[in-house]
Amino acid sequence: MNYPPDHQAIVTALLREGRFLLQGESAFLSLREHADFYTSFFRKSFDLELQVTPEYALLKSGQPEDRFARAICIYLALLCYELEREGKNILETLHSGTFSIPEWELRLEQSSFINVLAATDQLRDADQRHKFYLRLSRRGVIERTNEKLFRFTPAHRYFLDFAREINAGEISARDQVPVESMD
Amino acid sequence: MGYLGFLTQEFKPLLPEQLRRYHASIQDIYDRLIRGKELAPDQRILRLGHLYDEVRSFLDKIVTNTGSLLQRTQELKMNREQQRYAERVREARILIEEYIDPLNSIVDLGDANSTASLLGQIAHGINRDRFGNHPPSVLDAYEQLDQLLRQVNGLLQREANIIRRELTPLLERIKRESEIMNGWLLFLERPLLHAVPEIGHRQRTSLFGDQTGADLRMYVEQFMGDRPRVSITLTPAAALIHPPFQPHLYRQRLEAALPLDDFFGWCEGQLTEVVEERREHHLLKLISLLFGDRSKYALHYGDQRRYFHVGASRYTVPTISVSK
Repeated sequence: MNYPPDHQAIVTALLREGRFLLQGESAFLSLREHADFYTSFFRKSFDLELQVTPEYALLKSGQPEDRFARAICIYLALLCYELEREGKNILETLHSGTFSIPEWELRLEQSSFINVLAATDQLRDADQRHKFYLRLSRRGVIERTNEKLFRFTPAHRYFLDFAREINAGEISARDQVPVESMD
Repeated sequence: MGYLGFLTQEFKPLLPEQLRRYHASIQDIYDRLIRGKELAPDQRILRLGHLYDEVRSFLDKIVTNTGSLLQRTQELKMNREQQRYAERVREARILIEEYIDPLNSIVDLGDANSTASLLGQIAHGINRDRFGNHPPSVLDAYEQLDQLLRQVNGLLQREANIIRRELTPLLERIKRESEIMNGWLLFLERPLLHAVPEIGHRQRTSLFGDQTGADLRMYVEQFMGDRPRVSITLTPAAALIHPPFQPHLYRQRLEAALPLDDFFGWCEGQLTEVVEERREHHLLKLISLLFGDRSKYALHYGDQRRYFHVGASRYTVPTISVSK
């Protein structure tokens, strides 16, 4: 049987490294071209769901309670909150901005959500956050340009879409609240 | 003028209805111009001037309006007024529905009923009429109007572009950003309890692949330098289970053997049936059989001592004769 090109790179990235496969990687190109094959391949071999968008691909773990995923959501929520507070253009900054780790360390320490950080193991203190950045980079959520600077990869949109879903869920839940009858 | 208006004007964009009035007034003035074929030159100049002013006024209003909407949109984007997200989304939607979409249809050159198309038709008519037999002063007025109308296309195209390229996406983005922020704020209300999205998971169990051979060799090689290990052989489990001491059986045997000259000699005979490890235990049980119920037996102690070997121990015991 012939496998698509970069088969090993695709399986290694998605399954063994559990990372986002990103636009620009040759493995990503091959994956997109053979999206149907890989969707069924991962479903039948490992019972896992593959999500392919024009910018990134992800093999979902099937584990709804992932601590790392929670840490990423909390981190991004605080980051967006801070950007919004400063009147920055959130989407554009996340898309093309460069972030300085020491600078954001300072901002996070001063954040009004410091208690949320303290309650999250992987974001608890500067040491833990240092490891957190390493993991973000290994999983393809950020790209480190050097020791101190990083940029977000298109994978961050996966989490922004999650936030939009929360909002949409809230709106539809609000719409479904039955109106109490007056009599 | 438009630019100054943009700078000084507060946010008061004209309603689309106000802009549409220009459509009617420009149409009226133009109709009066083409109906009056035998107009005196000064009257013609006056009407051409009216048309010019009205078109000019319309264009200024459009430019001011777009500028004003753009400014409001950017303010909304920067959120200097610290509005709540829901309010910003609402305002963005109102701007799109009430102002921007209708404005778009007014300046749409592709729509035959738009004011932009009307101006196109008028430009065509004026361009044709000005080649009539007119005195120079009338020709000047035609020329002036013609030049203005020539700018209309470019100008309206520019405004339409601003609306299409700047305003609509900007407002869409505000809406989108607000949705995201609202979602995050809802998430931050219960950050440790709210559901989170599934992400990839590192599968630590390695699969068979071209690395497997090398991995296996490395695994085996780590044991190759080791010293031989102590080997432990386990005896079959059944051998470890011994029949327990059965007092009734031995009492019967003892009763049957009475009278005995040498109790320990008898014991020695009984113990040959028992495995080595259990002999000492059995011996003590046999002794307690005798001494546990002394009233039943008459014991006579001899003077001699004898040795009794059980396992590694050696007991020195007297000779005891037993009778009923």
